[in-house]
Amino acid sequence: MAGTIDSGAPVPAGLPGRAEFRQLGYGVALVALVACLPLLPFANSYLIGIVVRALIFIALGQAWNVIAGIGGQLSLGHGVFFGLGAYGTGLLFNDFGITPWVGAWLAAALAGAVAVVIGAITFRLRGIYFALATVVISLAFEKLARFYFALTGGDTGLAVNFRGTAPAVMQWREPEAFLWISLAVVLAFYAVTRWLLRGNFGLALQAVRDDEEAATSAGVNVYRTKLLALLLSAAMTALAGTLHLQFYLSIDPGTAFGLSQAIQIQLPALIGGLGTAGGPIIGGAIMILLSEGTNVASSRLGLDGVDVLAYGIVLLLIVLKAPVGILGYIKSKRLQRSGRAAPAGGGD
Amino acid sequence: MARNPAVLEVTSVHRKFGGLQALSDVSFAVEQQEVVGLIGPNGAGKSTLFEVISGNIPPSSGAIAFHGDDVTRMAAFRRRRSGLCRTFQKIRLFGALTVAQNVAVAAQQCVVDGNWRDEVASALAKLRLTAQADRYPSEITLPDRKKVEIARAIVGRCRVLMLDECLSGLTRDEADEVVQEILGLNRQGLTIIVVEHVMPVVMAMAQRLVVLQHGCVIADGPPKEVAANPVVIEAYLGARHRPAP
Amino acid sequence: MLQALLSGILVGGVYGLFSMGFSIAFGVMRIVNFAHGELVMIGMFAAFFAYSAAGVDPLVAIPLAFVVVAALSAVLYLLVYRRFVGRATLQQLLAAIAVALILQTSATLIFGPSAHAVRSNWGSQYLLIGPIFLSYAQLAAFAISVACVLTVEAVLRKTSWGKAIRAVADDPEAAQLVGLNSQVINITAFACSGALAGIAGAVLVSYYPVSPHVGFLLMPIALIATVLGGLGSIGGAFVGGIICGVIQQMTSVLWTSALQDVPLYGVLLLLLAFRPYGLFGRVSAH
Repeated sequence: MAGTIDSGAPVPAGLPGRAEFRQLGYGVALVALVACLPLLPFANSYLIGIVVRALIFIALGQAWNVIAGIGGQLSLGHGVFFGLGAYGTGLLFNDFGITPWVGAWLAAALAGAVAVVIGAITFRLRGIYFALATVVISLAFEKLARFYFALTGGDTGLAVNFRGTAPAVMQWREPEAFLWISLAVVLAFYAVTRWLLRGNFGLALQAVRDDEEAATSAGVNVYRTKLLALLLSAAMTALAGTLHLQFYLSIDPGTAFGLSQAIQIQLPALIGGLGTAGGPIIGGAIMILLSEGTNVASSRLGLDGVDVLAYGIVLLLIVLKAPVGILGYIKSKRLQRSGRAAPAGGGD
Repeated sequence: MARNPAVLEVTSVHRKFGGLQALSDVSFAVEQQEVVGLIGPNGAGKSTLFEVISGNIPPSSGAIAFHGDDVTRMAAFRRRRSGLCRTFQKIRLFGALTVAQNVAVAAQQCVVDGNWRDEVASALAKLRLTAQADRYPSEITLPDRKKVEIARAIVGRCRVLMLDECLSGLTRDEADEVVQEILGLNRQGLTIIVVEHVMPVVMAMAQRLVVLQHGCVIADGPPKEVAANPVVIEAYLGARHRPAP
Repeated sequence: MLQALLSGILVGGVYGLFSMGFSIAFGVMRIVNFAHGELVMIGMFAAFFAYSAAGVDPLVAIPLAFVVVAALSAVLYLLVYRRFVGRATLQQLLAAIAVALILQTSATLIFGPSAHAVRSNWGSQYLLIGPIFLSYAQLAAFAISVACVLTVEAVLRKTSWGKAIRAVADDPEAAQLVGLNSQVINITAFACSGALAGIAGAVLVSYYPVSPHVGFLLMPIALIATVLGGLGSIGGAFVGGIICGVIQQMTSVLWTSALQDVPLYGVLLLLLAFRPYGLFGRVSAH
């Protein structure tokens, strides 16, 4: 994916084309709508809560997209970084009284450090072996989190000491504040993704994704590039983990490190379009509709786990039927119409 | 050797893969602004030698010096940054990046002084690719893709350009076009090593030939001399007359 | 220690059995079947169902588990894995994960999330040899596993089908040139891979409680055993499974049974990092 949803025609640098202006307009309108949601007459906590969940989903998808979509390294162990963000922030607050406003960054730094260690071991491996190694690391973290319950709360997990509405420690009874915070995070992550798709580091990273040997022969330090991308992706995932913790006020080993979590992190980018800036946003929005729908279905039927079943089916359908995601599909259609072949590549 | 110091010096390089001796005691030197052809029948060790020089395969023993510095243990990407550049036999462009971005990846890493954007523009201009700058590799012709590979290899600091069978898959006219570009780069001062197993192509380009067989250098000299060398004739004719495995 | 070693070998026999199935899928088709643990889980549920519905001993229900899981595998092959033969791609891994998730949640929806155990009167008894006691159930499981493994090895060595499979596992490219990599071989190999998982499931459920999540504990073991035994070396996977069992039991004795899998994961990481072709596997040009 050459990236963004910009028009096919070459545009001189610095002069956005008409299509880009139009997209910018849509984008601003969408952000304004989400930000002003609480002011709308029909808005209630339930609706706002759903949007917050969607935004957290999107943020996670954006973070995973950095290493998997733009960097081409299929990490199945991002639950580790998500969990470190959530557990790290929670433990720093519960045990040391450190406000999550600070704890989030400490936890992100911790996740980044762990990412460097994991990367240092696993980036000797390519493709599927890297993916398998990350699965195993994630499993190990789940087992350890369940066992050392004095630290983590074991199977039941960690509950944040709730003080009611207390902005100083990132706690509110009502979801509005989370709406704005997570919207800001999504926007910031979007900016990071755009920078990666266009900027120097991102070009090198995409080169590594497309062909490691060729990247080496272009002077790119492949190992370091992959490590930095994983570090960035891990820190972003941990920040999203903090958001998750503060919004739900609890975290447990299954939610943090389990297989279904690892898949939930991947789905937004896979559905929307791997390696694109807009993909995780579209995919995350679709995910939340899916998840709400199945939640309603499972409570009606009195069955637990319908949502996970739906995730599995969606994942299977995407991999088999639409491996480039929605944006990739649109882009290839558009290129076909303008008589150009679709650019090769993507997240393989 | 006295008139011109060697740019690249390969000294008794050996390489073993398991029980197979792919390179044994290979030594040769390349001088400033030379075009050296590295030839030999299939399986002679050309590709292995190429990878050893560019740093993707470490030699079992021996040394490689580049501008007088020992680079035997230097990582491949650092060799590229210091000016030892290569292309691939099978085209390996970054499929999701445009032509300009393909060259820019290398420029960002390898331009030491000056603006890398200017260097990208000048590399594209040198190979007459400016009009294709914003196209994707899948949208341009095969000779143009070969030229993008070359542009990516020469952008920034490039002192030696190693071309791995860069004419394979091209028609005669297309090959001529690419050869002219390469010779043009050489006239501007670039040292070039061409790996080929098709003799006539190299004969036309190279000022000197190094011939490999069974991992050993069996001849090293001006093309005419090498072509008349009975050992070389035997190696090529022998290989040609034997049925392919 | 000796106790841990012996029970490790007994437990490891079953691991080796389903790991061989995993190894066949990988060796013949280069498919990393992330859902292999779920196939074992289905085999366990099939035998458990026979036990709870008709009071049949799980070991008697082996043919049932065999047929159910082999058929399921063939269906999965035709629906999903067929597209990925010969390419261990990331898409293939994602598809297999999706299959694992679907099988696991389906089992949860049907049987509920809790664990079920078989209580047979002979299975909970122990054989005492001096200070060492071995469970009859585990002894029987080990004996059946070894018998199955020997049968499979004999089939692989003697029959033309087996020879074709071994040839493909040995060198997929060469085999493709000779035309061995046909759909028939693939589908039977995949069914065979599943059948081994099914048998292992029926054997395992005679002493180990079954729950929908058990597959996800077993899949890493199959993966580790296969890598230990050498990717693509079918017999090696059995040895790898036994090593896994021993490592688990040793960890239980020396550390804690709650973390018995963690050293396994460490071993796999080290192997992947330093010996990606396994201990017994030959180095192939990959």
